Amino acid sequence: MADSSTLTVPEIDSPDVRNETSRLLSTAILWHLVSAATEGARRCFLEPTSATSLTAPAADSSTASPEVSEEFRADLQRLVKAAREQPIEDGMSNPVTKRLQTILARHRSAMVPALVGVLESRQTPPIVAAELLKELGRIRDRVSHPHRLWVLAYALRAASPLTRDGAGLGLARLGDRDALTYLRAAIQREPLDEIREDLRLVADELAALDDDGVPGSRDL
Amino acid sequence: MPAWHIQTARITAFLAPDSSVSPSIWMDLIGEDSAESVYKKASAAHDDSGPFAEGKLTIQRQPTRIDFRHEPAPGPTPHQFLGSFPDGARPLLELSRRWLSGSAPSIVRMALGLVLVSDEVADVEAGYRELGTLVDGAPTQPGATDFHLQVNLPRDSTHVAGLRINRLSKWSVGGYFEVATGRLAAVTQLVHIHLRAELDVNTNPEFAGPFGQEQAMSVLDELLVAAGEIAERGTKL
Repeated sequence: MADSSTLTVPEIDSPDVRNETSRLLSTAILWHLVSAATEGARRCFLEPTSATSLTAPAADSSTASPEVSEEFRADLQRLVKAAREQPIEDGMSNPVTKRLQTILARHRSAMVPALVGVLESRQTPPIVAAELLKELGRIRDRVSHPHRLWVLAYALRAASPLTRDGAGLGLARLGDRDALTYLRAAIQREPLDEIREDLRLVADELAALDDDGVPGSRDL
Repeated sequence: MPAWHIQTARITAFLAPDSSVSPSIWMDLIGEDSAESVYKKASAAHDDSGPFAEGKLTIQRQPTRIDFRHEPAPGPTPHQFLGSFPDGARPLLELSRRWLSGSAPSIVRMALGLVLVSDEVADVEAGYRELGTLVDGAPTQPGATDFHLQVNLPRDSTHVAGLRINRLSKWSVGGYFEVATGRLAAVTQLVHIHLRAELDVNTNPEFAGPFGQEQAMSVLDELLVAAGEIAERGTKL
């Protein structure tokens, strides 16, 4: 522990002190604040870096728990709000089809928790949730594919039948047979005939795909 | 190989989309209430934490994953450890194995995260010299700073067909500025200079899973072996 009475302390107004203080203040650094304190002295541990802004390179293979940034959250909230204010019709473009892919490309690492948050939010009407899910299936991106598959399979358990149906359509568009386990479970528990039939059609379609994702021939 | 000390340890299980973790997991595994329980609305994360094996354990539940994080109890400096590698990770590994063999839900991906810190070295140059025996490209020029190497070198699993093991590691020489502030001024010096290796050994997200119970246990062992190899031999490009 540092004892201030044994330190050689220069005059506060000297160039050395001003320079050192200025350097500390002008450099962006990581802080490790230590609770220890002695009479008249306090210690702080700071990781050394000459960087003035800290940006860690994102690693695709990292499993660190991703933070959903305020920017990402705001982007999705604005998207949902815009989608709420426009009619959503089959085959017609809307804010989701226009903007979702770009938003997700900018925030790929936190995609899953952010989308789960949107789907579970009371601010997201089922029709908008369904449109989001359909669009998730349409995106072609190898790196985010397993994350989108996870979200679509997760949404098969949504409270709203419209959302569950949207998840099924999204899985159809995604075209991944790994979804079959989740689809078959969803078919078993689906209480509504119409939704169950839709999910069954999606499962049949995926089951007919070959290893390359190409629809195989079927006996008629 | 340097004498590595474990600063933090993490085991993560990524859940199948149709499964979830019991809210009573802390009680089920530890046998008493957690010291602290926090819900973070933004990420729908439940954190339960409390004392565990001379340190602090946090179990974080989210819709997509569960994280078991073990860190040392706070001390007078940030240079606190769970123990030497690999012994310091044993309590967390044993806890995770109990969970995997008991009440774990369907898991599609697993990860072992370790922050390893070496014994102190004399200075940054000495640190880079030692780091150069473990990774390629460590600077030899006097006065060099801020070197970081991050790389993933994946390989096939030897236990599960079709599974890949990501071996992500990040290497640097670290230390701390000790700022002693008196009434009139602040004095700084770099202290506790050390090698730092952050390991994130995990299974590839493309694997559909889920893992069977025995598979999950053998995968966890495989992740630990891979981490041990990296700690011993470093990462050569």
